[in-house]
Amino acid sequence: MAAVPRGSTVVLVGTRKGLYVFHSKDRKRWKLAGRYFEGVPVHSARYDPQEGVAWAAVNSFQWGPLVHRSKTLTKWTRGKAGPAYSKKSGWSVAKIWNVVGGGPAAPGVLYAGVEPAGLFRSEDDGDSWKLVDGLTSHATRPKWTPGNGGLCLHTILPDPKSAKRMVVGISAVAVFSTENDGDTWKTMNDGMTARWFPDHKPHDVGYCPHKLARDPEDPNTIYQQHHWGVFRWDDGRGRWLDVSRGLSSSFGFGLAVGSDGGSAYVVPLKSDGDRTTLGEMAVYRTRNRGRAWQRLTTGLPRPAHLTILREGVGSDGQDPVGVYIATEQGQVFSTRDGGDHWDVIADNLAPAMSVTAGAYP
Amino acid sequence: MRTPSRAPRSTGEAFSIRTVLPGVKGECVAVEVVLPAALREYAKGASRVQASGRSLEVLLADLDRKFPGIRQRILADTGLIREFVVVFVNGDQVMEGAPERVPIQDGDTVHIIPSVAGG
Repeated sequence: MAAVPRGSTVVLVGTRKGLYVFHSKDRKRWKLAGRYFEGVPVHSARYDPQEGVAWAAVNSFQWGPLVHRSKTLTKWTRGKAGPAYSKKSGWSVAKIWNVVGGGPAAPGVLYAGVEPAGLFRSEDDGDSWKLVDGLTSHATRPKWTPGNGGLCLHTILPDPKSAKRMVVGISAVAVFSTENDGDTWKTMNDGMTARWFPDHKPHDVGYCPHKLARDPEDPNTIYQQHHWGVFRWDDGRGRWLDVSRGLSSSFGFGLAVGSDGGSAYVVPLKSDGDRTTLGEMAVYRTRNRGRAWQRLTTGLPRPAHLTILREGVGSDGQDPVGVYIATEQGQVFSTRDGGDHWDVIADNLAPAMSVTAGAYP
Repeated sequence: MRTPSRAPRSTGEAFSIRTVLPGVKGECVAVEVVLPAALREYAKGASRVQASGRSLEVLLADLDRKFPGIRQRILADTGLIREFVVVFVNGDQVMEGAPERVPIQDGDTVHIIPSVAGG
């Protein structure tokens, strides 16, 4: 396996058949550092420059889920134990969907979102885990039901300014927030449209947040790609605002934010009955918090009926931002100019489920 | 397939594979455990290791003391054998998912293998 040079940008692609690690000095010419966990699904993997460690959610359908870690991105070490529910709960962790560091407000802390939906916390880099039981003991838990991808806690957004605040997304349940380090949680449904409920009235759970992302400049702003629409949450307003107008479809999975405040990227897909791009690969970008969207297609294939899953859009936090899109058909598209032009990093990979990117300082 | 066609697990029908005993005590016995390739990294590459216990549960606990983390690869959080893991004792497939109810005797050989599940 080739070493990953320091000073690179790294792209980690989780697939149904292992993890691919790419690196580049200029974000134009990419090299494959290696493929890891061959044959085993990797639902997500990310490098955290703050902690100097990458984590991978490795989900063997035979031997169960486990978090692996690496400082080099080429040599991976398995955690001593995976997140586990108590025997008396009757639940068993089937998959780890995401592994996220605690961020600037909670250094040394690691969170894992799992299926069936739950949040686990580690303070020893993934060697042991403790259930954040304030969430799974929420009064609505008996009413939690899975989406097509399973009953999964897929998004974890620690607040960069407060270790006590966090937002998580659970499909097909709701967005939840805590302000006391996970002891108690409340749903964040205000403003969500509810037209899929038979009575068209708001419910406590039964929503289907596909992906959430926090604005890097204003952490009180969160974007959501929902089953039916793209929404923006502002803490000051305390409710979701539908910002889907201008998109070719309100349906989609992946979502990423740019490096500058107010920018976000989505890839609309054709309905929940099809889940493919609408005849061509097109990315939509907003630079004004969702008030308007630009359709970006330069360098992207046409015709194209591709599927981008919930972890399939990532950004690298650099300026100008690099955005990366991994498809279930095994392509990875990238832009290094904020979306004006796109290239192909890789093709014919195993079916991709996730992509993350960032500096490897 | 994990379950032999002749006897579904749920029927409780008597058949010639390993039978189940209630409340087996975990006394010390010597058992050889044959590990699949995927789990040998826990045992520094060894394919055959020694462990002890008069039930499969105690045996796996002992195995976990020697090779931390390996038990979680074999048992789900519920304490039952993972859905796509198969355990044989002296060539008999364990049909009981609860390992505390599976007796182990001195000199037994336990095979742990991934189920043939791929299509």
